[in-house]
Amino acid sequence: MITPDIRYAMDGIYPAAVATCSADGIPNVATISQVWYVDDRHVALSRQFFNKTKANLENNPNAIVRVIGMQGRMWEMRVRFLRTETSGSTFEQMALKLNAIASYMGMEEVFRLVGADIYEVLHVHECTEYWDGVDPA
Amino acid sequence: MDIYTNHIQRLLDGPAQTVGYLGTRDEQCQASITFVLGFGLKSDPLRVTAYLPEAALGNTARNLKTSDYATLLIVNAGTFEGVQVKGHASLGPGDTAGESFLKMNLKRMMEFYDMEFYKEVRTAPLMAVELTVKEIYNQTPGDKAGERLQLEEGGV
Repeated sequence: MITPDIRYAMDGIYPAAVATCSADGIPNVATISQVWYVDDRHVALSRQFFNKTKANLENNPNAIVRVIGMQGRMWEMRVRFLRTETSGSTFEQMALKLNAIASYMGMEEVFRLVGADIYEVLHVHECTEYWDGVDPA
Repeated sequence: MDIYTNHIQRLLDGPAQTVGYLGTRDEQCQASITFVLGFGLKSDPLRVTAYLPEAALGNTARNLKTSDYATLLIVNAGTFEGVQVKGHASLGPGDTAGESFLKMNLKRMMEFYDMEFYKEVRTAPLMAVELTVKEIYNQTPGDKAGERLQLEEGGV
């Protein structure tokens, strides 16, 4: 389900975003520092600040993630929140990468991984609405 | 009141390119995201407009009929500084000002990222989603991320 092109976009230069919805029907969007490939059907999102996202997921585990690759190609993933990991291989690898991102951006004091939120990927599609008919390669 | 819009203007004027994500939801409370490349600030500081081609609306039009309460995250891709505004949204046709905003942002994107590819971005027919802002939140990474800001003193 998660192709090499999508994995490439997950390392994109644009901030990815996750959208959730509260129990009372108010949508929320948050940027994500990392969308981490776990396996073909699972991704992990870096949990750093995400207070509203976390609150929304407790009532409604469904979310949408959008990633944008280097060439502007975009993918949308419909996902379902499963759990938060605060140790283990995925968490440790994400923490290392986040440290690298923070160092690059000069934000070592700001970026700190609180958890790796694991999501099941339910559906993926490429969003071509801005570039339909244009070969981005 | 103008401090809050000044902050959005600072995002738009900042290094790199400013991108946005428009969030809406359907009747099952399933959220949707729409990518936004054009923004407009009008003389009324409580109105923020997202400009996007009709083809990029996705579920937005249908969702706004279910619930017109939407959210717009505006973030500078270079600094990750951002704000999220929430409020009642209306969908209508874009205008020449919106086309100018969108093309200006695309030009900055091409210059900053050296991406000639973006010359091919579709901009027409242009649509406008105007939010009447009721809430604003700090989305800049840090201890204050997610903090609700007062509209009257919304500097971050």
